[in-house]
Amino acid sequence: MDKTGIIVDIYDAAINIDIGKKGFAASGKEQEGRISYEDGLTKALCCFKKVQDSEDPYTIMLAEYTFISQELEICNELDKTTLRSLIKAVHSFNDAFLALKVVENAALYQGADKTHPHTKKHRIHGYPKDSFHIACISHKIRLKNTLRSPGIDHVEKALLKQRVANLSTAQKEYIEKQKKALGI
Amino acid sequence: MPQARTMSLDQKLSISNKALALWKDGDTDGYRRLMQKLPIPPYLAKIAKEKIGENVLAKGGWDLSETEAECGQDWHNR
Repeated sequence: MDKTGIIVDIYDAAINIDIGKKGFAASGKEQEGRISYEDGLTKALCCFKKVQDSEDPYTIMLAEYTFISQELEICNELDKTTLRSLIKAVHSFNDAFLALKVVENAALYQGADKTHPHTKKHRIHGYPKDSFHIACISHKIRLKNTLRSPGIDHVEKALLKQRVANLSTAQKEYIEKQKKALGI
Repeated sequence: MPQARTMSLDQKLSISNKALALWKDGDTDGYRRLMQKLPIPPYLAKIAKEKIGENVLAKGGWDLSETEAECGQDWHNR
């Protein structure tokens, strides 16, 4: 599967959503804005399904990071709660990307494993509940909270649900990497 | 330095709407050709460069004029 191609598709969808949002905000452009926004979301949904099918944690996280960054960019600066939450998400995803690099190096990751408590609370299926898992878990909660917000249409809901599913897939595939790195 | 010519919101909406209509009709090549006429917003270009690398910007083929206007012509070298 062409992972760069998938990411290009994600960016195309993000560009259309960006244009759509600006169309909504501009007087007299609401109809064209709606087309770009809603069809952009529909395209994004298709892309996120392909991202899930890639079963590649890095591609999944990249796609999600792109959309978090877009949400941060277009967030109303007066909505301090959402701003704080999205900034936190960006930081935690940056930590997740670092974890993704370290897990590829068995010696490094075996060392890192020694620093993670071995109590159930700090493990996922016996593997370290590291920055990658923490980013996915926190963000899934964030997305599920957004799903409960009033006024979300069916395409927005479908995309949010797909994003949650993608993060679960990312964690499942990441555990395979942890397994390989730790030789368990 | 001459100011980069930026695309108006009207032009972007027109291209975006046409591109998405092609995609809905199953013309993915036509869709991509039109998407390459659109400027990628600077915040997306910066993420692409930082997290993925220039190959995605090359493959995407988007107009980089807005990013160059905001960050300078040599932004991708920094």
